[in-house]
Amino acid sequence: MAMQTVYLKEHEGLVYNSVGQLSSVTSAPWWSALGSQPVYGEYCGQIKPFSFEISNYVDQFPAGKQAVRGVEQLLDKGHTTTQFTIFPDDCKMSGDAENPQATLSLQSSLAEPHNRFEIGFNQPMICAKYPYMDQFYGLFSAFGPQISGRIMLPINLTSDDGPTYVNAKQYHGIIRRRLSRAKAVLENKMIKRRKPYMHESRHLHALRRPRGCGGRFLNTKGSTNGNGRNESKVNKTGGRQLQSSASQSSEVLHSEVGTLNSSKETNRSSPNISGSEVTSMYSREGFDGFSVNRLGSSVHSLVDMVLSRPLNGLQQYQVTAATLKFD
Amino acid sequence: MEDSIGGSSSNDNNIIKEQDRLLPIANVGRLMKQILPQNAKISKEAKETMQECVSEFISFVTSEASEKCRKERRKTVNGDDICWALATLGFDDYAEPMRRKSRTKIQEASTNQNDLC
Repeated sequence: MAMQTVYLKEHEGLVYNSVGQLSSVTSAPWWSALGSQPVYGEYCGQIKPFSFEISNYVDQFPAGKQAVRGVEQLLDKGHTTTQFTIFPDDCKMSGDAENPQATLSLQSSLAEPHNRFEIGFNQPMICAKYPYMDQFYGLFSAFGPQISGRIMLPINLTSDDGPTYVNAKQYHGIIRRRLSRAKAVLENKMIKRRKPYMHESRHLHALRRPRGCGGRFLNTKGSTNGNGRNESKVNKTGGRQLQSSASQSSEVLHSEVGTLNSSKETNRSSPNISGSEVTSMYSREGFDGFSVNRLGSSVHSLVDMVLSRPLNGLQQYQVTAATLKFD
Repeated sequence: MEDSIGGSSSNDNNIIKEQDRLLPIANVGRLMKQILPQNAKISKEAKETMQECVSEFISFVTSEASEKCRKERRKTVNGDDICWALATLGFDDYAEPMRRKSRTKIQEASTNQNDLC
């Protein structure tokens, strides 16, 4: 029961993260949204864990600097870069806010969480959970109704829904993962779309192979040789357990290689296929046909192949068959 | 016939490859098939979604264990750290069977871990 709730919350968190990464938000709406905040204290309360993590992870500052340089270089400003540029400005703003107020209660409330976090560091196993609950318990009692065992995540600007409540034990892990995902997107330019095949040459080879009625590959003898090669690879791996059927073992090896195209070839050209596998194969092909990205990229590759060099009669027939398959 | 396995991929070195970020989709599909009845079918979209979820979960648990190793000035994340991370994140029902399984032999534990999935 509780475990299912945890999974649902995690899934919602993932959805929000993906939405945040996909859309691009400029810095101006962020500051306008900041200006339009009804309760300023609540916003400061939400920022506190970020400042805590900054003080905790010193190595994050170079990432922030890289984010700043990224903003300077790139014209397009994504939500992730905005998220990184928030920290120093927000620290300055909080400093400016503290100066005019200068109340003892505010200073004491700011000092107490810091001390509690220090206590948490001294005894990580015992006190790791308790100070977090104390801090956020006070926060929720001041600003809204409390849900037992749940902490409110920082609101994602790009998501239309309200705040997401997650398991208190997983809060810091989720924040850490958000930062590392944003860092990966910023530095490595992670591919967000899924490619239909890994290698261009293998894809072209598959297109050149002769196909019979229904789109299956005609050459059965080649699959036998391929299976032999797979068996030799099985011997090389050593400790890996052998599967019962030949098709499964070849599928395992091709997945190890990481080429989806070869896996599909093996599935199609295998002579011994059970009824359920045939049905699942047809359903997979149907879904392949319906996916827009795959269809567009496949048509694009077909156009490139047609334009690159002239085709003889057999190749034209193959290209036509492939085009009909995608239609 | 087929190209050699050593053929170079056309991806740029600066980009994280799909096969480095996600688990192989065939293995994920096979694990999903184990728990379903004989005549059930799994759509490709379901496999891709599960691929994303399990890869993110592995990174989530591993980052928690890695954080513990960082605090204790250790460089190697071992099985006990993973069990501790599962317990810390609230997955207590999974941490205890994992702790018992990890005491047996490595190959036997890897076989039993498939049963847990």
